[in-house]
Amino acid sequence: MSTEDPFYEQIELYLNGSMDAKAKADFEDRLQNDEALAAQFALYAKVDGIYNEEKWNINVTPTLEEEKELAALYRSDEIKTLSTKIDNAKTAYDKSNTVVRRRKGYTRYLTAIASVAALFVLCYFTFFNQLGPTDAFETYHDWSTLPSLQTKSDVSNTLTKANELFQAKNYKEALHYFNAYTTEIGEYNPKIQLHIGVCELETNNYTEAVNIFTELSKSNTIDANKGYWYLALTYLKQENTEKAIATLNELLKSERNFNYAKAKKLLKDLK
Amino acid sequence: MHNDAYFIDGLTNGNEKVLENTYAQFFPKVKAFVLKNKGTTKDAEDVFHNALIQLYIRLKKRELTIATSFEAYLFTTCKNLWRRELNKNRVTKKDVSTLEYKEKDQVFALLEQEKWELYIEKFQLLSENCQKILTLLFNKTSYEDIIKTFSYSSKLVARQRVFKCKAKLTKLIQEDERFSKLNKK
Repeated sequence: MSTEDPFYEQIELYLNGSMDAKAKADFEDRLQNDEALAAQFALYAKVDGIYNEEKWNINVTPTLEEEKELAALYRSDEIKTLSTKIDNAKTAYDKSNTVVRRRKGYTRYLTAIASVAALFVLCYFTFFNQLGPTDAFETYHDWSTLPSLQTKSDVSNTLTKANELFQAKNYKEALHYFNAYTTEIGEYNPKIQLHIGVCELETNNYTEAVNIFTELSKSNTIDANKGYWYLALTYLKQENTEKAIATLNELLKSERNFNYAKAKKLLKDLK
Repeated sequence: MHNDAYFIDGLTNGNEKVLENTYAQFFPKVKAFVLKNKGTTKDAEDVFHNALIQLYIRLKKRELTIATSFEAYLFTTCKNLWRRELNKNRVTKKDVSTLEYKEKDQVFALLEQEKWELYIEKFQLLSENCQKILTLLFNKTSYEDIIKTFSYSSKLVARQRVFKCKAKLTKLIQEDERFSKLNKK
């Protein structure tokens, strides 16, 4: 079979929809009766999907023996031992990582103190209390203060499920249900948006979180002023202190904004 | 900096020190990739864990030899495992396996990875020009852009070129007996 084989040309015409009714019927007839050609056709048609860099379209049809053999291997003590060793490596990695991070923070802090002390001795104590963005996020975020989603008995199952998952800190799954609920109700609900934003934030989808909180802060709803606070927290978690400060300054423009006092204190801690 | 043999031997011998170094050296990149692609740290840890086990089994029991670097191999395996995870809801024509068991997902992931590598191997046999044009096509670049990139005189010329490359690729895959073995019941 050569690549000049007219059959490929036929396949291309067929897939393009450029065959007339008669040619199409003939072609389908051929496919029906010739297993080899049908296989060739199937592969040609699906080859695009196989090599797509985002999809995963690889299908396998192993024999039962092969499946059993591999399953037994995965179940074996040999693999169990290896699995435990990998878990131990992970634990060691996590441990060393926290130590390194702490040490790094400590060095940075010392350097800052040294140079600052030399120049502005008087400011020493202010800097002594300075919080890094990560610590500030850890200290100031408190999801239990989010508006409650508890509603009457007519509440949607989707929302109940979303709320349960959220409380269980399973943000990835919760996000799925919150989004489904938003589609269900078909309108903008600031309380739900706050929860969605937090889910995005907790799963490190910062761009999404920033979009949601920005949209909220610009919305014409009673909860709009909460947008700034959560936006500032998002920037902190992202370790973008500069933007966090800018957002807090925005919040401090009105005393009626959500968490005004807290924002003032946070800003002081960051500076 | 350790060499490939250090990591490969360390994995196949289950050397705990080497496994720790493997984690420290390669996990951050995998984590960054998973986080960037809708995943969590926990997802990244699972992917990394499963990739190491898959590589172990393939190195020890399934005649895998790592031709490129260990890092590249491990990273590709992780990337594919995560891509596979993200596409879990894909519609497959039929579930061919009648067995149900706990390790099924990992078993299929391994077999699919092997088959994917075969597809890539065949792809790399194509001419450079074919590889370029098909990479664009498979990743949904429009014919208009393909015509521009390759300075083809018309859409028809571009289509013919694509068609020839695709036919060649299909032929290469079909002629490989490992492919039919992987496909046969």
